[in-house]
Amino acid sequence: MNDYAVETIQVDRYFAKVVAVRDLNLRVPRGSLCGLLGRNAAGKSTVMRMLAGLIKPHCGRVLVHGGDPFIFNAEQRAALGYVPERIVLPLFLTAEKLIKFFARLQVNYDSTQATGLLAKLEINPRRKIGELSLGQQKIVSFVLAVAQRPTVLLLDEPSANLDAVARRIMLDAVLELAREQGTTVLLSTHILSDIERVADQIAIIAHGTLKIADSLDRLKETIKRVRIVGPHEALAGVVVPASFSLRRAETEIEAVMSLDNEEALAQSLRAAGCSYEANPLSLEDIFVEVAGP
Amino acid sequence: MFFTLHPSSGVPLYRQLFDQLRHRIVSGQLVDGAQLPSVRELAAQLHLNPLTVSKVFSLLEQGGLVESRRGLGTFVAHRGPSLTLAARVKQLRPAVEQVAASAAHLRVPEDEVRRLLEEAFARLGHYQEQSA
Repeated sequence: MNDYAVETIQVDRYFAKVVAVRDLNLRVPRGSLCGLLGRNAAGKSTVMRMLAGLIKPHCGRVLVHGGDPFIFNAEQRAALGYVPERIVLPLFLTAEKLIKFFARLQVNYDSTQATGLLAKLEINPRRKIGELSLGQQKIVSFVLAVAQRPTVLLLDEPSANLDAVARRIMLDAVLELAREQGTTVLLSTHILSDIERVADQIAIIAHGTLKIADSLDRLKETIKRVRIVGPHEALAGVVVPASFSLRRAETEIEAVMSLDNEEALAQSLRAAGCSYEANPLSLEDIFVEVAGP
Repeated sequence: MFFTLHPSSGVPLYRQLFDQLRHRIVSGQLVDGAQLPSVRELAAQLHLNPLTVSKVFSLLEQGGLVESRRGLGTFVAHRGPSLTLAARVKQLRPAVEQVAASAAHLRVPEDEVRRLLEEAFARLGHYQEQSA
């Protein structure tokens, strides 16, 4: 056991000859809620499926609580909640039947909570899964996973197709798990406003590789849009530190960069006879800069 | 206790919550000895990650604005910050520079800005007494 509830070490995964994930080193500290962000087909679902123990990496190791999820026993599996992107529930059963089924399989299964959450989310537990809308099926899948009271919860696009009220109830249930039993959560989503409210860690992947992984607070405090102003001749000589994007105009430069050494930049700009201003970015701005082309 | 938070702002949530709580403490809205809600209560009420709230509480404690009593909770204890003056000035500088830039842009004379500052301090009378 170490401080990371979820860890991937130099993981590669292909589908046929297509690379889905390459040399991925992702670590989620115990008890943290990590937002996994990436554009479509960036490799998020592949990462989730490997962590859920459904597929094996071709290279490297995938660890949940320090063990390989692919060979988890029933008890270890019960502690690992997973809501897949595409629902895999039997369409001819009702939510009520499914809850009873899981309650018999798992000792700690909280059927009361499952029933309560379904009522809150306005889902009739007596209707067959196949008769529910896609969004509602997703909710059922989520409720079933939360009622496991898992210590690691993997949520693959849980809020797609859901209205804002349902999303809020869902996130509250996730936060409740984190609060009450220190559950570690890895959540992938396109809805950045959701993650911005609840996540403490952010990992952004693009083309199967990890672009950035840090605390959300740190990202917001260090990644800035910096505007450098000065006379044309002075600006030409300015060396801008490594940046995500860079645009130059006649008398100004705009760059999005990590300002973790602001003092050094300020000094070099002052020496060059230029001034600068640093503006904060929302998570969406940061995401577009980091994951964009 | 109610707060207005903007998750999609570039200012981190912990910073927003910290600023609002600090303002309530230094302005006397929250008096010495008042009990704050627990981290869990506040996190549940604001739909926030409890880690965010506990970060705010430990920052308030470092700043000498609250103290936690084991098993009892967190209480307002406005004893003045434990950070050095230089560190506090560093924290204040961006806000002051923002004010100076806005004043220059709006062509508000320096004297007028000073008067406005004095007014604002007067409204925070509670704070001035404490730091005097």
